[in-house]
Amino acid sequence: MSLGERLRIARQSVGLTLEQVAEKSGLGVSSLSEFETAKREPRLSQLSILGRIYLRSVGYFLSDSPVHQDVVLWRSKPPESEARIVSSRFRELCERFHNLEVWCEEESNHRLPSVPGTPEHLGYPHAEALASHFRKELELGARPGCELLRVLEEVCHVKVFHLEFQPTGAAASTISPTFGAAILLNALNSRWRRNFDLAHELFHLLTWNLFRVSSKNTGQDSASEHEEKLATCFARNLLMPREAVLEALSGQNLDGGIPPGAVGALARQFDVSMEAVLWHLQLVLGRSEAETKTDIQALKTASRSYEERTDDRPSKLPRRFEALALRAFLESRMSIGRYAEYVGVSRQQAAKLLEDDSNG
Amino acid sequence: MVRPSVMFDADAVIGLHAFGIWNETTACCNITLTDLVAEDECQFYDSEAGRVYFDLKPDIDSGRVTVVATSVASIQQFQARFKPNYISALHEGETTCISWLSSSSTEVKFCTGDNYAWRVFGALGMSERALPLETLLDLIGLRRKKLSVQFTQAYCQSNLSKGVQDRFQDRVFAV
Repeated sequence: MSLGERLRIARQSVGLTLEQVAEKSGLGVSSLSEFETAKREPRLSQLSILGRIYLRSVGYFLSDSPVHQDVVLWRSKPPESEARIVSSRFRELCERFHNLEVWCEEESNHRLPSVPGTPEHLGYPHAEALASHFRKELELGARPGCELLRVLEEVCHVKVFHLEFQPTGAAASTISPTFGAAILLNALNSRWRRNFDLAHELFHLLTWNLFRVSSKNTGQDSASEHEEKLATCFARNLLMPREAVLEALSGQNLDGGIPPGAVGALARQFDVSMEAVLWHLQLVLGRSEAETKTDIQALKTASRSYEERTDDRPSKLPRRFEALALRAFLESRMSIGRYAEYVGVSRQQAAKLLEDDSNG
Repeated sequence: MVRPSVMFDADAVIGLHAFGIWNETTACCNITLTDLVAEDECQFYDSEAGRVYFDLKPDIDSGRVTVVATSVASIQQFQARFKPNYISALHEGETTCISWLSSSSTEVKFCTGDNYAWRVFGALGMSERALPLETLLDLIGLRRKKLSVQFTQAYCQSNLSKGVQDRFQDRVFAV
């Protein structure tokens, strides 16, 4: 594929017009058009500027290999223009992560099991069983919320990134032939909300072959309502094992309903939101939907917040990404400029790490 | 003293500005930069007082610094010689420098603070054209203090050797 075509595809994938790129880059519309139609060749410094706007490496423009368009599966997809930018940033980060794995010779496929069968045969009992199986297989324990992210990143080699975007309900996942399995979470959400989104997106990865590869949904960037409900069922059961929830509730008098304090305690224990606890208790305790909705409304209008707990901001880059980058840099497996670009520091800040390393 | 002819990468240019000896260096050396390094990668250095921006345009306009153009085709041709995973770890600025140096018949030396650039330089068998900043500054009498590791002769040699090893282990060039 020619450089011109690559430039056009890259521009379109971030949803920008030639005029918008001209404004951002300082390059003329006619020059940009001539670059895309191969009437003129851009200078490398111009490619570098365009790469920053299009969220592509200069290497992407110089390559002659075919361009693969990865499908990013969205939940509550942001408006198209924002979704394109966020998707592109997500892909760029995943590609960088993959490069680091390659340079450190730690390249491996993600280590997630694949669910056999057909989408039509997958129901709630299967989603619940899948959650239980996954929890046991990865030894996540009775309170997986605290461990899930670390295990997915470090053990399963799933690439998990946090970016800020709207709406906050949005999250995304993908399995790419290039960089493997990846999940995008919203950095604007609380940790317990992100935990739930992580488990929800995990379901999509586990069933990717079922819903995206071997079905008519191939290429679609959103899941059906049925698939989303299964993902929610999976997430609840993964994060709040039925036996552990019942044990936590044992000895409590629930005749007059579930006291907000008890819901708050469960939410803290399993590191999920109070609303997620109430929806899960509907199934575990056999309560009605109306009762659940009443309890959720009561929580929202309560004079005091039962959600009091310490939140934390997600790190800008996954720990494994940072560790691989540092290793690649200190072992001279990547350029200082590349390290600075990947980690978001200046070249001098990167050089300071060398200095620190050489001083022991 | 013969004026050294040297191609700098961004680290060297930024380092010399940070040390406050850029102007003295341009007075003592024939300096070449690639267009990407000059136009896109050398804009500021970090100091204790914060970020300090500088402009190479006056040096370029006055001829104290020569800028050479590197075409997309020449870079593509250069990169095609390597295994993709080996050359992709080299930053674009240094890629343009080494690409230009590898096809230039002049005796221009290379000065960089980039570990991996030295490694690729070594792999290409170009170690004799390596001129670490420490050596250059000694040569032109401008070294006033101990330099950070990235600019030392020892660091350069260590990474050149890694590149030579890479070549022997058949990790460098495309078949």
